[in-house]
Amino acid sequence: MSMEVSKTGIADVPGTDLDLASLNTEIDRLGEDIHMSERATLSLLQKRARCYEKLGKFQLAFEDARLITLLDSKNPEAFLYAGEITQKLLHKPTSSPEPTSKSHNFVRVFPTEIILQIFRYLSFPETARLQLVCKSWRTFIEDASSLWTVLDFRRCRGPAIADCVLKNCIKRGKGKVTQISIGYPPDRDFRDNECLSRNGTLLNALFKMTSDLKYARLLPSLHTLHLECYTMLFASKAAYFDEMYGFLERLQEVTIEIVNLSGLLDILDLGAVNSLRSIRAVYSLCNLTAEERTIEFLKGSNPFRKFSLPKLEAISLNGYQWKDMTLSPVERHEKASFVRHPRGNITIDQVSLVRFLSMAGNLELFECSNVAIQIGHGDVPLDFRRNLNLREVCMRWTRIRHLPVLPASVTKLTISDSTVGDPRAPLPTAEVIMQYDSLHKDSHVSELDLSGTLDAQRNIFCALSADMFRQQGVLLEAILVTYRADQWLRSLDLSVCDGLSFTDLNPRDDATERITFTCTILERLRLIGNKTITDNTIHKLRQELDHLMVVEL
Amino acid sequence: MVKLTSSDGESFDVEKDVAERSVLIKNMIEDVGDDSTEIPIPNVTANVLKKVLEWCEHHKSDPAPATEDDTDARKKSTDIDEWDQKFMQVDQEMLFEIILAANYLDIKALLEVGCKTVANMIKGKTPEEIRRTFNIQNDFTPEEEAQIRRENEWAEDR
Repeated sequence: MSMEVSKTGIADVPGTDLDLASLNTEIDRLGEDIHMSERATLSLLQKRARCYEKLGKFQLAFEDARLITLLDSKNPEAFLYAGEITQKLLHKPTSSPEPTSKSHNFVRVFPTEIILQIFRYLSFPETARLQLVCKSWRTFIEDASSLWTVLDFRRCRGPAIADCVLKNCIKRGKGKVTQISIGYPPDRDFRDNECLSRNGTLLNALFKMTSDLKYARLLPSLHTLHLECYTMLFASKAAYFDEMYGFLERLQEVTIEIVNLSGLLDILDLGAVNSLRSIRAVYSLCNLTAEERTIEFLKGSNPFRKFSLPKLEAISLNGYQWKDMTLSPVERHEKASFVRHPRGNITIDQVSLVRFLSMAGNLELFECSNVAIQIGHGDVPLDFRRNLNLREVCMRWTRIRHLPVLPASVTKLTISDSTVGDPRAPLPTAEVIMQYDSLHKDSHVSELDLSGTLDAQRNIFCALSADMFRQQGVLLEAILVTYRADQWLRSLDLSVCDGLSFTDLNPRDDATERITFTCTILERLRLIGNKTITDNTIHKLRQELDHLMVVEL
Repeated sequence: MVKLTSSDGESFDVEKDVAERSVLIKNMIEDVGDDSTEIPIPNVTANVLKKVLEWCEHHKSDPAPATEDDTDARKKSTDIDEWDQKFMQVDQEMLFEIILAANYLDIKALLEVGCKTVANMIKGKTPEEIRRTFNIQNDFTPEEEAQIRRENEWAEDR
């Protein structure tokens, strides 16, 4: 004797009041024989129970189920069925036919690829947290190496981090780790003590691991390293970078922010970093005073040390040996945004890397089109002649004693405040201009932006270079000058200019002074009869002049 | 027009370009070389297939899907356009059926929308909230749970 209480059975059970009526008749006819526990009886009772169940009459279904257990007491399925009915009786799911207790644990149901696709939309520390959901999730996440390839610890806010965390994460990546980022959550003060200690732990773990060959081998795919740690790393730690060589050669991107690290040069020094596409160092203490190393570096004696980075697209050095720890985070972010650069640019900002500046010009095969040097200083001439793609050079607030030597491809040169020469020693300015003259016989600079230069320097520069430009017959297609640059205008033969625009009207200027200047300009324009200067420009100047006259009167 | 038959025997007449949002169907049509034959979809029931076809109909003139080398940032974004969001407002059973059907029928964009929907159901939730969302039993012993919690303390988002 056996019961056939199976889930599929329900489909062929009649489920209408009419069916029920005929079942009732049949069972009634059995009368007392119902206790014969014949297979047919059981089947009938079972059918009726199912029928009641379908009609939602669980009390009656339960009565029948109980009767079946009495008749067929050795069949566990009979009891299971009775239990099922009891459950339904208790929960009365009359309104919703779907049992509400159904689990939707997709990790048990979906193919691996789909689960991975879902989890990949979540950020790194979040996926790690999912291990707490249940066993199946834990096992899946632990084993899914592709969820452990981008180890971005910047968003972790956990109270503490153990030494072994980084190691464990790297192990789970099974050699596929491509990125390690250590730093701060976007809204967290970078001097926050918790962040400091966490970043310190991670950084030390990283250095320890990468200097241990056994673990360095776990990182064959690492190509991006972001270190943003306001952490005191002592000079001796720089040695780690030498030992990190094994995996550094595959690095494509290095960002070092607020790291007190004397090893930047070591990274660059590993000329074998052929795959490096981007170097970005912001507010790092980069110790370039280690003279012997620098010299070694410049010599390029070691074939690996030849400074050739064929794939480099961007260098951004915003590093500055600042010791002012009170610099606010806001300021820091403003400055940091300074160095967001498009591809193919070098931005050298607030760099005291004197030697580096001199090297920048010697990057062979460097396919960059724009060099911006800000607040750099140095006394080694920059030579960009090998950078055949260079189009634009911008120098701001620099204290470089020599103007860079440019390749013929450069068409735009921007020089602004305290550019050439040391403000404390004004003499070099003129010297620099003279250098410029001799070095730029083949210059094709057609756009010269001097709008930000200090007057004194500009005037000397202009007086000299105006002659120079005239002699060489260079056409200045656009000269951006300020109204105050009257000397520049007086000494410049504007008949060779194709275009002229006036910017930076200084509101602090004395009105009379401005009128004088404007008159000079207008007179000059009229005198030379430059055909290419549009009537519009003259008209605008006239308006300006009229306005000033009215104000003055 | 193409005739598709669901696993439970229901037939759907669908415009060819709608049906061909599915790479599987597209390949089948090409293999058969005859548009008029009936194409069985043995893994998808009628109610799911209907839903999937509704999506295909709405997206029939979408440009070809972007190439594999999408930027990581784009891949990570879980933004879903408004119509798709409404479309995905179904019970979890149906949502998972749609995802599985999209996977089987090889409709990348629909699979993407489905996975994003599920990811958004997880995003920013505590493990307990996730368990409640998907009705998952916490099958760790208290000791195991404490152990895993300790292991992953660093990843906590406070």
